[in-house]
Amino acid sequence: MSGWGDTPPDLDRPGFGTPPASADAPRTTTRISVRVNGTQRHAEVEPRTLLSDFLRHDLGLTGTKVGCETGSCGACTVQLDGEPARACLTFAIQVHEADITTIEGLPHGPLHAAFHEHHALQCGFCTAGMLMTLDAFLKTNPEPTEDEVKHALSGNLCRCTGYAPIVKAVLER
Amino acid sequence: MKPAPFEYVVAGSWDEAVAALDGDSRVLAGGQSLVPLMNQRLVRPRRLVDISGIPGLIERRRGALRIGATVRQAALERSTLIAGGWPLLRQAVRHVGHPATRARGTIGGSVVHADPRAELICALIALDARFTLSSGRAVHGPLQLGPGELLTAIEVPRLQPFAKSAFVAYARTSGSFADAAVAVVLEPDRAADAVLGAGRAGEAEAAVRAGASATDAAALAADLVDGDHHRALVAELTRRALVEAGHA
Amino acid sequence: MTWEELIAEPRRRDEHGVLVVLEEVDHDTRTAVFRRAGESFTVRADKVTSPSDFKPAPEFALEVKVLTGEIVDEDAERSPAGSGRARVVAAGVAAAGLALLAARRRR
Ligand code: FES
Ligand code: FES
Repeated sequence: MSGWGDTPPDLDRPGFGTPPASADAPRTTTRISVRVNGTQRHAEVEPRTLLSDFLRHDLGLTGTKVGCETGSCGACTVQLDGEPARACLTFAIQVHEADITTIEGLPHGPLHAAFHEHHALQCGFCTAGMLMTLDAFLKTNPEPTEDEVKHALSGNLCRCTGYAPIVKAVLER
Repeated sequence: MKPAPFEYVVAGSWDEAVAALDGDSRVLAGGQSLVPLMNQRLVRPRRLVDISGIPGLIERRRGALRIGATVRQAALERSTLIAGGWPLLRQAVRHVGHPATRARGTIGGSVVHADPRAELICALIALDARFTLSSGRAVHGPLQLGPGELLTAIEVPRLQPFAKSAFVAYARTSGSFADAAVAVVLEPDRAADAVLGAGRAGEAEAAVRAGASATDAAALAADLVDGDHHRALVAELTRRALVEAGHA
Repeated sequence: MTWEELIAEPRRRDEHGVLVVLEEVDHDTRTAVFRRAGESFTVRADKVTSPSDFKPAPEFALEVKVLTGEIVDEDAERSPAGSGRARVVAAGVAAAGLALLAARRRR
């Protein structure tokens, strides 16, 4: 039981807001093998398991945060085969044999230090997504302009900092 | 929050994908529109057919462009081929979502999902794109898929020398769907003006060819949409797009 | 490696398990763009070597099809600092083709 109490068992019942699951909905699991931060991991997943849940619940990598699960906030951004991707919009079953980097696997570098120095985080909830997005962006744009940084971060919401310190940290890293 | 249970099928080719589809299944390409709907359980397919592994290329052959349906939006955005030959597409795709969603989202997915406010379709229509379907059919103009039909590629003709184009959009925040957008392509003997969600503005195009001013042509384009605010937006965006494409 | 071989495999994992995706093929200029680990690199197959460059021997008839691979740093103007890296990555993937090429040339 979580601190919020058990989930009502009848969340799927007709009239509860969503249509009922079709009776023959299959519930099988599939074995996947994926390289996460350089380590090969194997697990059984249901097709519907989101990559974000897989990372956090199955692998215990809770550095990846989950904010909205609709692709709006960017907190769950990881790198999938080197490209930034929303973990909440990817199914774990899709990343079979892929190579994933999460915030835990991102080597500490000047960007981390600049975030620290410029107070580019307060609660830190957005930070993992920010860093994963920026790392991919800076690989191909090592000397971005302020506008380019803002454009690159347009998909990452931060409710604390007001963004200015984040942009500054990127420019002055 | 997670989607309702479903069965997951990987398709390695278009034929496999078509064979795996039935009435209660959905195609998963980049998933950047479908998965949010599934996460909110607004969509509950019994089976997902994943086509994202089917290779898709950006190709130029004898001057004409062919974009595979599974090409990621980010690939279109960074393509030097596109930037050189069809800059309109690059401008439009930069308005689609965010860097991380463009890294996964596909061109075909955006076209077929067909949100009336999808910027890419607007640009493709202005470029006279042709849509190639799995059934062998090719569609020119508004795309309607029949049952069991999939979009496999998009073909864009070569632009004439000295062609100019512009894409102008208005959105409240970067990455959200645009409130209004206009794509303009001006060639020596052709003018194309597509308005987001409303298709080609034939009258405005004729006016441009006849030498009307950008402001007058823009007023005609605004007739395609309803509402004072929306009309004002379309008129101003069309004017700006025409000016940016070199038409005073 | 011929142009056709170069573009025959659009998606593969290299020996390190890193995904290499063929993104762009320009048949008109014979240029291909690959994507690997978040970076793009361009491989250009120049037009068939001009006949004036060598005396065509009978066994060379087939060799004319062999293309000269040239690695183009397409990101140069955008990211001067990343150019060295792009070159290394490009070299890695094009290596097979170039090695084949060199071997054939030496013969
Ligand atoms: S949790 Fe994935 S984008 Fe918000
Ligand atoms: S630091 Fe709190 S959301 Fe960004």
